[in-house]
Amino acid sequence: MCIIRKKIRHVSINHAVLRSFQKRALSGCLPEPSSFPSWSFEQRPFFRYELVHQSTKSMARVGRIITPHGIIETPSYVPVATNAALKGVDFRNLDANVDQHEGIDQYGQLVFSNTYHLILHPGREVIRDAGGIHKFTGRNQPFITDSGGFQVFSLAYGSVQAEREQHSELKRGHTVDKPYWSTSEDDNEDPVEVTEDGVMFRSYRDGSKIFISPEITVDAQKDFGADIIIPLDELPPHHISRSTLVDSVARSHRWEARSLRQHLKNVNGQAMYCVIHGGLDVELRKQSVEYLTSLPFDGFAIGGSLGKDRDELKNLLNWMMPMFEKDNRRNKPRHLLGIADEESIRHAVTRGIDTLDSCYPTKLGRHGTFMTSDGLLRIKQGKHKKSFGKKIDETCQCATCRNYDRAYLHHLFKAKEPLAVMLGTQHNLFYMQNMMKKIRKDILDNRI
Amino acid sequence: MVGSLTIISSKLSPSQAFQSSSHLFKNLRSCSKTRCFSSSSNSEKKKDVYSPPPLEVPSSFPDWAYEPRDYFRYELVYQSKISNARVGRIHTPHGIIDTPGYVAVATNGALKGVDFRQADEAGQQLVFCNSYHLLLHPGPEIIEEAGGLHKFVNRPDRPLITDSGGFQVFSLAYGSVQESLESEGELKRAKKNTRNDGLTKAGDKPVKVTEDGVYFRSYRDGRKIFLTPESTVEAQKSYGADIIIPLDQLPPYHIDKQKLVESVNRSHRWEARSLRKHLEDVKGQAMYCVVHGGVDVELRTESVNYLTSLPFDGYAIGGSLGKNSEELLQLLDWMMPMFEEGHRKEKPRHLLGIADEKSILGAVGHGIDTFDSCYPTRVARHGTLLSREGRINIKSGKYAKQYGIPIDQECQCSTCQRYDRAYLWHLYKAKEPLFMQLAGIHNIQYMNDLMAKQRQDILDGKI
Repeated sequence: MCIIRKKIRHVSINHAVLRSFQKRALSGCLPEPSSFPSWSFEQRPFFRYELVHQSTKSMARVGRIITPHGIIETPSYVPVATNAALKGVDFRNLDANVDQHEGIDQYGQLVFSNTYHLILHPGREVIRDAGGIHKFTGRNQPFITDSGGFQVFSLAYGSVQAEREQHSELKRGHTVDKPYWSTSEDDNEDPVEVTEDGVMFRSYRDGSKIFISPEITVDAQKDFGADIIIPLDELPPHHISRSTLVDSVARSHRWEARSLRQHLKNVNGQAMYCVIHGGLDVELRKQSVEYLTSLPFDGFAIGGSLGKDRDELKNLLNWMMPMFEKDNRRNKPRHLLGIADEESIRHAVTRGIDTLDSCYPTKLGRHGTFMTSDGLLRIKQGKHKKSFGKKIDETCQCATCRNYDRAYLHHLFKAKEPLAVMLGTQHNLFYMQNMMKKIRKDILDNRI
Repeated sequence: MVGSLTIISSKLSPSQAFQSSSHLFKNLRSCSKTRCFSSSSNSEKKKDVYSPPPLEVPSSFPDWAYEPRDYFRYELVYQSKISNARVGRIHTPHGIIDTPGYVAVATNGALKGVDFRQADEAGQQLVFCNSYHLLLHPGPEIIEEAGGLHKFVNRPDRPLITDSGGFQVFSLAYGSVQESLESEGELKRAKKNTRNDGLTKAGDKPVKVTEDGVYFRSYRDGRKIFLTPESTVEAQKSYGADIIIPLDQLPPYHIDKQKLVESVNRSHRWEARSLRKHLEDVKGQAMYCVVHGGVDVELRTESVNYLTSLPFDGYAIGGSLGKNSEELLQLLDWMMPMFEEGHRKEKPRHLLGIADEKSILGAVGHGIDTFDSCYPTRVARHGTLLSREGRINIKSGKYAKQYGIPIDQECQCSTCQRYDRAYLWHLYKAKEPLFMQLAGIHNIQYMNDLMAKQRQDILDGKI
C-alpha cells in the first residue's frame, strides 16, 4: 500500500470516477507498460547495445554501446567528472587512451557528470545555451548524467560510510522509527525534504532551496544533453525496516515511470536507463527488475543499497544478475552505479555488468594512492623518498610513469604541489582504462 | 656555533674573528658557552664596535676565473640602434635561452599545476627554482642522490636557475615586498624594537641576520637553519642548476642611507664569499652576481663597479627596485648604461622578481636579457588570464556565456585550442583543479609569445 499525498479538488464527482481514482491509489498506482506509447518499445535508431562475444566461462560479455557521440566498448569503467571536468586532468588526456578500431565509427570513453552539481553550477541555462554538455566542454565523446537522487541520500546522511556508522540516524538526531522522508512541519531544519512530488534540497553553494522532481530532473538532463540519462529515484539507507524499504522501492518505481514519461515527450537523441532498487531483499529486487524491465527503458542501472561490504555486493550480483539473461533483457546494457574498486569490478564483470562508474580511482589518485598491478601504492610513505628512477608501475605507459619516478612524486605530494593531483589522477585513470582493456581481451579469450 | 667560528677564522685575522664572534654571542640568549665570551666583551660596554671585514679584491681571485667559460656564454644576435635593447642567446649546458626571455618560477621543483612538458610546449626555456624551499623539502641530499635537479624533475634538455635563499630572508622578516612598503620597513613582530636595520637582536623573529649568515626557521617544521654564503653554494652544487646565485641581503625599501650602505657592503662580502666557494668546484655552472643599492645612484654605481670587477658569469639586478613600475624604469634608465661599458656587455643581465607586462616592456628597452617572476603563474591560478586584449578576470559573470571564444583569439596554446571562456569561467567558479592547469599553460604561453614578439620587434628596429 502506498500513500499518496495529493490535493483533491472538490468538484461534483460521480462515484465511478472516485472509485477508479481510489483503485489507482490503492493498487500502488504503478503505471502499466501499456500506458506507454508502443513506438517507445522499439529500438532507438541512435542508441543500442551490440553483443560482440558472450564468454563461455561466465556471464561476462564483451559488447558495444552505440551512442550519438561514439561507441563505448564494454565492459568499461566510467570515470566521474562531477562538475563537467575531471579533477585535475584534461579530457583529452583520457580520450587519447581509447582504442580505435577499423572503420569510420569513433570509439569513445563514457564519462559521468552529476546533474545536481551542474544545476547549481554553471546551471541549466548556461549549458543549454552552449548547446549541451558536449559543446560546453568541447568534448565530442559520450556522457552520462544522473538525476540527483544519490545526493538526496548524501545530504541527508553525510555519506554512505557515515550512514552505516550512524545506523540510519539522520543528521541532527532524528529517531530511526520515523520514516526518514516524512516531513512534518517541524522538520524544516533538514537539509533535505522528501515528498511524493519530489525532493527539496538546500544548495551547498549558497543555501538557497531547490526542488527536484522526476519531471524537473529530466528537463535538466535535456538541457545538459548527455547521451545517457537517469530517472529520479530514491535511495534508502542500508539499515531500514522492510516495510520502509517496500515503500521506498514503490516510490522509486513511481518516480522512474514519471521520469520516463517526461523523457518520452522529447527523446532528444538520449537514452534512459532505469535504476533497479530493493536493497538486499531478493523478493524486492526481483519485483523491481520485473517491473522496470517491462517499461521502455534503454538500459538497466543497478542502484540502491548494494550491501555493506564487497562480499554482500558480490552475493547480491550473484543471485540478481541472472534475471537479466531472460529474453530481450539481454539486448540492453547494464550499469552498476557507484562501484569501481578492482576486486568488485572483476567480480561484477563475470556477472554480466557492462559499465561501472565511481569516483574511487580518481579520488585515490589525487590523494597520493596509486593503483598498480601490485596493489595500491601510497606515495607519501617515507620508503619512497629515495626511489630514484623507479616508476610507479614499470608496465604503465601513462604520462606520469613515462616522465617521473617515485622519489619526485613523493616530493610533490609531500610539498602539496598542485601538479601532484594531476599526476596521480592521470595515472589511475590510465590504469583503469588499461585494466578494462585487459578484461575485455580475457573475455574474448574465454579466460573470464 | 663551532662551525661558524671555523668559517670566520678562515677569512679573518684572529682578532677580527674574536670581535665578530663576540658580536655574535652577545646577541644570543642564554647559552652556557657564551657566558665566558660575553663577560670579556662586556668591557666593550655592549656597544656596537663591530667593524666588518674588508671587501675582497679582484686580484684575490684566480686568473683562470676571468677567462670565458666553455660551457656558458652570452651571444649577441642584434643590438638595437634606437635603444639599449638587444636580442641574444645564452648558451648553457642544458640548452639555449633566447633573450629577452621570460623565466617561469617552479618554486618546489614544479610549476604550480603545470607539467614541465606542457610548459616546454608553451615555449618555456629557463625555469627558476627556489633554493630555500628545496632546502626544506626534499633537501639537497635527495636531489644530489637523484643526480641533480634536471634528473629529479625530469627536465634534462632545458636550463634551470636556482637562487640563494636571500630573498626569503627578506620575505620572512618583512612579510612581502608589498607589506614591507606598507609597513615602511618595520619588521614583522618587531613592535618595540628600535633597531630597525636587519641586524637584529634575538627575540621572536623568524629570521636572524649576522655577518656569518642567516638563521631561518623552517616554515615546514620550525627547525632552525643556518644559511651562509658557503652553504648556499654547496646546496646549489647539489641541485646542479645551470645558473646559480650567491647569497645576498635584501634590505627593505624604506631604509636610511647609512643602513643601506652597510647592507650593500654585506651583500658584496657575501657574494664574494659565495663566488670563491663556487670557484672551488665550478661543476659546469655559471654564477650571476646580484647588484644592490636600492634606488640610490651612488650605491648602485659602486655596486655595479665592484661586482662586475669580479669573475661572475652574468649580472642580476636585485635589491629594492623601487616602489612601483615608474621607479623601477627610472632606476633602470640611469643604471643600465653602466653595463654597456667594456666587457660588461658580453655578459647576460637578469632582472630579479619583476614581470608585470609594463615593467617588462620598459625593461627590455633598457637592455635586460631575462626576467623571472611568479606573477603570470600566480595570477593564473587566481583567475586572471593574460591576453592581447588585456587582463581577463575570468570570475566575472560576463564570461559565463562567451561560448566559442577562447581566452585570446590569437593564442596557440593547448587551452585556447580547445576551451572557451564560458567553460573556463565555470571551472574557476566551481574550483576545479583543472582550471589551474589550463590557466597556467595559457599564461606561460602568453608570456613566451610576448617575449618572442619583443625579440622580433627589436630585430625589426621597432624597439
